[in-house]
Amino acid sequence: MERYSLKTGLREQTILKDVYFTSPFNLVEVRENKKNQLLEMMLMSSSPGLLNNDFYDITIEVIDGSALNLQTQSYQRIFVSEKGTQQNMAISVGDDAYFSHVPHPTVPHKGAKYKAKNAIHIKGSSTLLWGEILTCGRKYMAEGEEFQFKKHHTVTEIYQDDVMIFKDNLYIVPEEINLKQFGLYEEYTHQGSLFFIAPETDITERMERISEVFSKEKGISFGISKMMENAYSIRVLGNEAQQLYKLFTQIRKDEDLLINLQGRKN
Amino acid sequence: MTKKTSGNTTLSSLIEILHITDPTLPIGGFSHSNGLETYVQQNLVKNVATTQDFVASMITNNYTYNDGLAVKLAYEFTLDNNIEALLKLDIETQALKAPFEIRDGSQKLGTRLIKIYGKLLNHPFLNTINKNISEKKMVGHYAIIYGIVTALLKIDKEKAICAFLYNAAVSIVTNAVKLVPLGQTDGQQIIYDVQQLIEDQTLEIMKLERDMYGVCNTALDIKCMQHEHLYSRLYMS
Repeated sequence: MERYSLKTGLREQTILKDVYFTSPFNLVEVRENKKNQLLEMMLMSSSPGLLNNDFYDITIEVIDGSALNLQTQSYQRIFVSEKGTQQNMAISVGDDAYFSHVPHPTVPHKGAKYKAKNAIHIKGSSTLLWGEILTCGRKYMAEGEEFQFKKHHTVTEIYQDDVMIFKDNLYIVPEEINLKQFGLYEEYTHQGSLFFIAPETDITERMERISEVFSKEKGISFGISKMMENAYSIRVLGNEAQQLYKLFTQIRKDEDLLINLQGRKN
Repeated sequence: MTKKTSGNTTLSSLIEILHITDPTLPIGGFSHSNGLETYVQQNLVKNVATTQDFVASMITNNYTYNDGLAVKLAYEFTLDNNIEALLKLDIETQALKAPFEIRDGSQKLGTRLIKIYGKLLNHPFLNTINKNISEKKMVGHYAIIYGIVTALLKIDKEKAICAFLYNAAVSIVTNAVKLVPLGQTDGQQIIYDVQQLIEDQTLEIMKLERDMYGVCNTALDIKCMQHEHLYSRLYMS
C-alpha cells in the first residue's frame, strides 16, 4: 500500500503540522507568500502513475480554523495491471476551516481498472471546493486510446456533520456501455464534476459568474445548479483535458484568493 | 366503504399495481419532463427514432441505476422494517440528485404519493415515514415512497419495479408526443418497442449491487441543470 497523510496546524497562518508519505510520494509546501493564511501543498510522485496493483491510501486532516489547498504536479495516469489499482482518500475539514482540491485530470490507459473512494467529512462552518476530471485516455496517441480502459469506478461522498450532502458515483465500463447514448457522454470524451460549499453564503452570484465564464468556452457542455442555499455543483463535458482543468483551476484559485484576503483582514 | 380484501389474491394485487402506476394518479408526474424539454429545444430529440433512443437510454442508464434501484432497495428495507436504512437511502438520494429541478420534482412527487397512500392505507409504517418527513429526518423521494407503498401492498417486488419502469417510459413518451411533437400512434409504437427492454432492465435491477446506486448520467444532469435557464418552459423540470 502506498500512503500519504497530512495534517494542518495553526499559528498566525496555517502550517504543516504532520506529514507522512511512503514511496513514490513526496509532499512539499509551495506557498509563495509566507504571510498568506492558506497553506499550499504540492503532491509529487516519482512514479509515472498508478501501476502494479497499486493501492493509494490518503488521509488529510484540516483542523479547525485552518486553510489548505492540495495541488498535484501532473496528470494522474492509470496503467494496466492485473488486479487493477485503487485509491482511498479520507478527508476531514474542521470548523471554520477551508480545503480546496482540483487535481490534474485522470488518464486511464488501455486495459486499466481503477476503483476510488473519496470520503470527505466537513462541518457546518467549513468551506470546501472539490473538483475531479476524467479523460477518455490517451486519445492523441497514434493508435488512439479513446475509452480503451476496462473499468473506472469513483465514488465521492461528502458529509456535513455526518449527514451526506453530495454523492457522485462515476461508473464507466466502455465495453458494456455505449457512452454516446443520450444522457451519458453524447458527443464528448471528457467529463468533470465540481462541488463547492461555503457557510452562510448566498452562492447565486458565484454561480452567475461561473456560468458567464463557461458560456464563452467553445466545445463544452455544462450545467451548474444549487445543491443547497450555500452549495452548488457543476457538471461539464468536453473534449480537451487542459480546457476543463483550466476552468476548474480558475474557480479554485478565486476561492483560494478569497481565503488569503480574509486572512489578511483578521 | 372500507376495502375488504387485503391484496392477497392475484387480481387484487394487479389492481393495486394498476392504481399506483395509473397516469391519472394526481401526483403531478406529467408536469416534469426530467430533461427532455432541454433535449427537444436543443433539437437533439426531434423525431420518432431519437425519441425511441432517448427512452431506451433513460431506462437503461438512468432509471436502472437510480430511481429503479431505489424502488428495489426501499421495498426490501420496508419488508425488513428497517426505518434507519430507509432514512439513509432517502438522504443519499437527495445527495445524488445534483440538478435542483430533478431533486425538487422527486420530492414533490413523493410527498403527494405518500399523502394519497397515507390516507388510503392508514398503515402504521407509513405513519412512521410521514412522521420522519414532518420532522425533516427524510425528504420522501418519489422512488422511495413508491418502494415502501408497493411493499406494504404486498405487490410482488419484480412487478413493482417493472411497473415503475413502465410508468417512467409512458411518462417520457407522453411528454415527447406533446413536445417533439409525435403522432399518438408513434408514441404507442415506442412504448410497445421498449417492452422487452423494460423486462430486461427489471431483471438487471434485481441483481444490482448496492454500490451501483446512483451511477451518474453526466449529460442528462447537464441538460436538467440547463433546463433552469431555458427561455420558455412548459415543464417544471
